[in-house]
Amino acid sequence: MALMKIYISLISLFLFPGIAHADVTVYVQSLQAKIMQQPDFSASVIGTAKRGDTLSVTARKGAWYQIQFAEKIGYIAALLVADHPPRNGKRAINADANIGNNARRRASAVATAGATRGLTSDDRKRASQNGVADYSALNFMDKAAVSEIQAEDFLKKGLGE
Amino acid sequence: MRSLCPIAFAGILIVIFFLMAQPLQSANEFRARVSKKSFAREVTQADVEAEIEFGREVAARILGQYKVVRDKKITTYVNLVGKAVAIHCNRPELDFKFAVLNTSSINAYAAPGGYIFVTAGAVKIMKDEAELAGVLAHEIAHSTERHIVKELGIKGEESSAQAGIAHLLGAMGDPARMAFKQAVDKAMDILFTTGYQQQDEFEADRSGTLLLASTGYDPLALERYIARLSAQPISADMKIINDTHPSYDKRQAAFRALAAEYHLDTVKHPALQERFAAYVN
Repeated sequence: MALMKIYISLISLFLFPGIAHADVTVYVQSLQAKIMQQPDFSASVIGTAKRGDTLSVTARKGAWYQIQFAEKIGYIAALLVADHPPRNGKRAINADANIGNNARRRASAVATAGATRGLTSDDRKRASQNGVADYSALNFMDKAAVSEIQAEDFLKKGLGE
Repeated sequence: MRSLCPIAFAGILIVIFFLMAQPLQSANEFRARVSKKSFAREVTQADVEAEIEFGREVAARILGQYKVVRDKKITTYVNLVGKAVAIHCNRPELDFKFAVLNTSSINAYAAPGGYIFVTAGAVKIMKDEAELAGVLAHEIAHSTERHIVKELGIKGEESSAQAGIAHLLGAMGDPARMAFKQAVDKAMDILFTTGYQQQDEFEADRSGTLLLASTGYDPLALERYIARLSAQPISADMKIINDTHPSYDKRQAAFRALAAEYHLDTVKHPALQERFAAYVN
């Protein structure tokens, strides 16, 4: 009898992995991600997930993942998710923003930034003066950037949402 | 009877193992497909920081090559459209920024770390906002897939024989600076002379188109724009794009296959011609 119990336990041990292998967790990376009724960009939208949400993937169909969403089967574009939580980006320190304008900076801050940033400030200054690089234009690009919320609102207006 | 139990038990185990082996292999394959990058070395925070720092230097060089268009209206528009696509990508750690380059040359560029450029010449031949979004989505895909980063082996930790840019960023002295400058030169070479690996261009077309669809723009817009490029007369303005990309025939064949695979011709997403005209003209 005891031996039989051992046999049954061992058999169950082999059965269990076969039952429990299917689901994989992914994390939504997109600010918002539509969940579709079918794996098709024309399908009806059954819900919306947001960045950081975890989803349980039960199958892959081409560029789509089949997921369990609010007790329904749905589909999300694979491009919108990843197998890790969203990462934080460290914004690059704009230590040389004024090189193009020839503004004065504290020498110690410049030296520190240069030493830890691959090129020294003198390298960048020389590159700017030679016309090889334009850090003033890079500063313009930084300032012209828009926020995610601004872009989302702009998109929704265009799409009539 | 008792001596038969172990034999029966062994037999059952063999049958179960045989039956379970196939699904377990499928599960492992499935896991591999879902998290294909997890079998490669994991990207660290240091890798991301190195990518952004390096990308800024490449961006500054691109801006040295061509002057930036400082018109606020067009610059804001390109940033709004580009960011609208970027918020749907899978690299939220990158703060995507966009600029228009003051040149009649027809092209677009992606420096690592989220710096994206489109030339005034390219914008001039676009017909609608979806085409602009499509071109920007293609470049965003080069960034999200780390094509230049992979080509140059930019890593935050020295975990292989390859020299990492972050290693150079943390190092001091002339050899490190020279190596860093050479890496920036190599990136510029890829962007302006040799081009990306062909498979990377096809991947950017594919990912860019799917990103366009996920964002809500007409997913056929990028294909439409590429078709118009293929009809442009051969000129100095077309030299760099023609030299650095696969043939139009091959790109258009890949687009057609993608459209058929995902029924993209049935997707009724807008192209937004009027809004484009209001900002660009």
